[in-house]
Order: sequence, then C-alpha cells, then structure tokens
Amino acid sequence: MSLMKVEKLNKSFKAIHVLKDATIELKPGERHVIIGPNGAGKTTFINCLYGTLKFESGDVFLEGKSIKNIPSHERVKLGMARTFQKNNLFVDLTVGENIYLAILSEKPYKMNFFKSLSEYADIKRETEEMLLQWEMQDRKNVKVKNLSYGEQRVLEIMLALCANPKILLLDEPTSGMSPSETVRTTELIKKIPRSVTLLMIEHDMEVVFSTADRITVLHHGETILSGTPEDVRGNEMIQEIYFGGGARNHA
Amino acid sequence: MKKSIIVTLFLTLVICALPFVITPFVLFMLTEVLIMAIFALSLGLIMGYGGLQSLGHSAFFGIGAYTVAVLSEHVTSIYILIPAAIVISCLFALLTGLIAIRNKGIFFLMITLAFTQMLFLFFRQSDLWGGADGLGTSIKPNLGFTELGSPLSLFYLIAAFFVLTYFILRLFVNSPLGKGLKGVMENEGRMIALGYNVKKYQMIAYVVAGGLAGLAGGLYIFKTQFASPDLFSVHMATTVLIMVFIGGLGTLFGPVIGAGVFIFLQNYISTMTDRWSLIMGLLFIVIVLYNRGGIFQLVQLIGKKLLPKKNVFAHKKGGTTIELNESGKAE
Repeated sequence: MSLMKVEKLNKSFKAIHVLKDATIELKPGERHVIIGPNGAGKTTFINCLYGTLKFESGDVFLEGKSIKNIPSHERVKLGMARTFQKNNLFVDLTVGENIYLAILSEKPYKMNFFKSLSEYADIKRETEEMLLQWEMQDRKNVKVKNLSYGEQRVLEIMLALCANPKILLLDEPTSGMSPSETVRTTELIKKIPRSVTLLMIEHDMEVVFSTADRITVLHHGETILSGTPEDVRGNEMIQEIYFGGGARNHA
Repeated sequence: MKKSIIVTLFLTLVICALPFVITPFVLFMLTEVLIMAIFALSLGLIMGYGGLQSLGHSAFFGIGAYTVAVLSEHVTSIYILIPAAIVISCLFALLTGLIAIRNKGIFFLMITLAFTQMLFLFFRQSDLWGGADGLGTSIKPNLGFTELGSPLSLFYLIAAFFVLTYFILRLFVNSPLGKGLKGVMENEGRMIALGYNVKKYQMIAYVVAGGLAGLAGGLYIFKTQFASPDLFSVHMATTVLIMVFIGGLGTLFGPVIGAGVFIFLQNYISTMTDRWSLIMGLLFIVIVLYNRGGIFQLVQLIGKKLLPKKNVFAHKKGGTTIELNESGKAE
C-alpha cells in the first residue's frame, strides 16, 4: 500500500497554470526525489502537499485518507514534516532552543502553564540525542544566526525530524552548500532511518542518484515520468528536457 | 518553578520592607508605580514575548477601572469587584482578539487603536456613567473582615496583586506555553510547520494581558476613586508603551523598572519644570537609538562587566559563584 498518494493536482497563480494534473505515489520507506528544471513547480508542489498552499483540484491521500482540508499545523500530528528551500529557523535563538521548540510541539504538555520548561527531563534528553545524532553537540548554545550556512541547512532537517514524522518533505536540502558541506549533508540524509519516508527536491545530480530509490520528473507542472534512477538516466526525453532544453544543470 | 518562587519571595520581602524606609509622599507614588507596573507587565507580555505591538492597551485598563467604579455603587467587596474587572477585560480581549490577531504588525496596531478609540469616544460622549466628566466613587477596598482606609494598607493590597501578577507572568514566560509564544514571535511560519496552532498561543497571551491590564485599571480606582474617559485615550496607551520601552522590551522585569522610572521622573521633574515630558522624550530617544533593551539591559550589561571580578573574589573565599538568572537578579 502506498503511504502517500497525490492525484491530479492542479494549482494556478492567477493566469499561470503551475501544476497540471501532478501525480505522485510514495511507498513506505522510499527515498523519492523530484527533479525538474527551474520553474517546473517543484516547490509549489511541496507547498500544496503540506497545505501551505491551497490548490484548485485534485487530492492528497495520506495512508488512504484525504488530507486536503486539514490545516498545515495539524498535519504534523498525522506524521508529516517539511523543510524549506530558504532557511526558515529561529535565528535569534540558540540551536538547543530551536530543537526543543521542535520537540515540544509533539509533547502533551506543550500548553502547560505552571511548570518551567527546563524542569522537563525528557525534552532535555531528546535534545541531546538529536544533537549527538547530527554531530552538532558543540553548537548547542550558539545562536542560529551565527552558524555557517551549511549548518543552518542541517538544522532545518533536524527540526523537521524532531516531530518523528512518517514522511519528510525536503525542499532542496543542499541548495547553496559548499561541495564539502553537500557531501556531509548527503551522508547525514542517508542515515535517516527507513521508518521515515523521504520526498525530496534536489538539483544536484550526484545527490539525486546517490540517494534516490525513485525519481519523478516534473516539467512545466506535469509529472512526466516516475521511475527508478536507471529509468530516468536512460530516458532520452528526460535528457532532452533536463539537460538539453535550455535549462541549466545545477550539478 | 523553584527559582520563580525564590525570586518572587525576594521581591515580596523588598516591597514589604519599603514602607519603613520611605516618606509618605514616596509611598503614595510607589502605589501608583505598582499599579502602572502591573499594566506595563501585561503589555510587556504581548509585546516582548508575543510580538504583538498594541496601541490600544489602555482599553483594558479603562474597562477594568470603569467596571470597579460602576459596580462600586452596588457592592464594595473586592472579591467581587476585582474578579469582575478581570473577567470583563478578558471578555473584551477575547472578542477584539478574534479580529485583531488575524492581522500582523502595523495592522494589528491599527485595529487595537481603533477599538480603543471607539471606547474612548463612547465613554466621553454618552450620558452613561458620567460621560466626559467621568465617574467619581467613594469606594474603599472591603476585604470582608475589614475596610482598608489608610494609604499604607492600600499600598500593601496593591503590592500583593503586583507580586501575584509578577509570579504568574514569570511562570508563564518560562513554561512550555511561554516558550512556544516566544517561538511564534521569532518565526511564525516555522512554528506552523512544526505543528503549533500559533493563533491559539497569541490569543491566550492577548487575553491574559487584557485581564491583567483590567486588574491594574480596577486597582487604579481604589487609589484615585475617579474613572475618566481619558483612561481610554491614546495618551494612556502610549504612556504604558513608553514605560515598556524605557524599562526593556523582551524582559519580564523591564516594564516594572520602566513604570518606576517614568512615574518618579514625572513627579520629580514636574516640581522643577512644566516641560517634564521633554526630558522624558529625550530619555526615550536615547534608549531607542542606543540601548534597545532599555534600562534593564543596561543594568544587566553593567552586572556582567562586574561579574568576572566577583567570581574571582568568590573563588578566593571558596564561596559560590554568582549567576545572573533571567530576571537579572544575582542569586
């Protein structure tokens, strides 16, 4: 059974028809990468899946149930999480504070009024575990605005994982990173347990082919192909659109 | 929570001891400081921790004041008057908040201003409750077993409410709820993505702040025995805003210091010159330009500069080190 299914999604910004019957299916544990030239509608697609944007027609199913009308802040409870293409963090707070805010959102006591947050031992422990797993222990008390860009990108992913999602939407996790940061981040992404299904937008072809189980190609808002990395590599039409059709190759 | 209790107890001790070392005139002024401190604390909560800039916070103060003034013709017990002032202000916060919270930044500010102006004009132009002349009352706080008449007893009553307000807000800002609120202020979009219902957090803060401002307004009547439409004015709203800024936005104790400095300057400079607000204006400009964290941050900075020396000293004596906690008091 599929974990998530998106059926014939249509989305327009005024006169521009950005997504045309975009369709995708995710199997549990899969690493699914969406590729496509600039302006293909990849980020819009993720925004629609997560409920950040509303769409005109089509439907999104999570474990067989339509989640079209569920507001985005409630989707976390259903097991969805996302990162942003541009860093979207609490820049004036420390790394530790960023993480406990992310962990807190899943706790039953998140609206508690009387007890000080620092007295909850579980949140402290989980924060430490998270920092250890992502090799950020020494950054705990550093304000996020003082981190390097690559570290901020990694923190994006960490925050999303704090909610223990079943499905994680990654919007260009390695964009703007230096080559060495890209390698490090790719290794960390590969370490994410298979209990988390990944849907990822990525431009860097090395990252795409080293992580993907399946690749979906989005072109002018249409999902023109969905297949294994070998299918995509061997497909001439894809080669034409993605590498030859005037679109710049970011790799 | 333990830390909060210790700090609050310390604060209580200081306030209890104050009347023994000050003159009756200063006591009179301090009573007003404490009332305005409750008011400023409530605005400091939504501005410094919720990121909601309000130019209409005087609405709740006025509502609390009028509630006590109007009801005092019928009842005298503070067990009815004070809760009534709080509940009615909370209800008003709830109703206006449902509309205002949907907007951000300058629009939130304009909507809160609009609501307050509506109240201001209503109380000034209607014939109800004294109209533009205001409403006088001869209420004295009735505790059930005794009626408080002396300035000293009134001071202690208001001090008790102040300490309670401070304690509750201290718990609030350190609790998961308060940390979540701060997260909403820092980055609302990310909080939504993390699964927080951000409007709920802002609404809770807005209603709590409204209720506390109402409490301050109610206590104000016990002191002045006069409710005037001017309590709803923009002047009142900006006064409390300036107190928060002078004291330190984003800190809990800052607004309390701001209220103190403001009222003391007002009282002392006005004996020397009529242009006292000029000097207040200068102070305000200096703080906005050079020290956004206000007087409170300034004290903290000085404290931190002095701290290493103290540490060495403490180490030599084999004593404990001194740490600054969130409210900046040495423990």
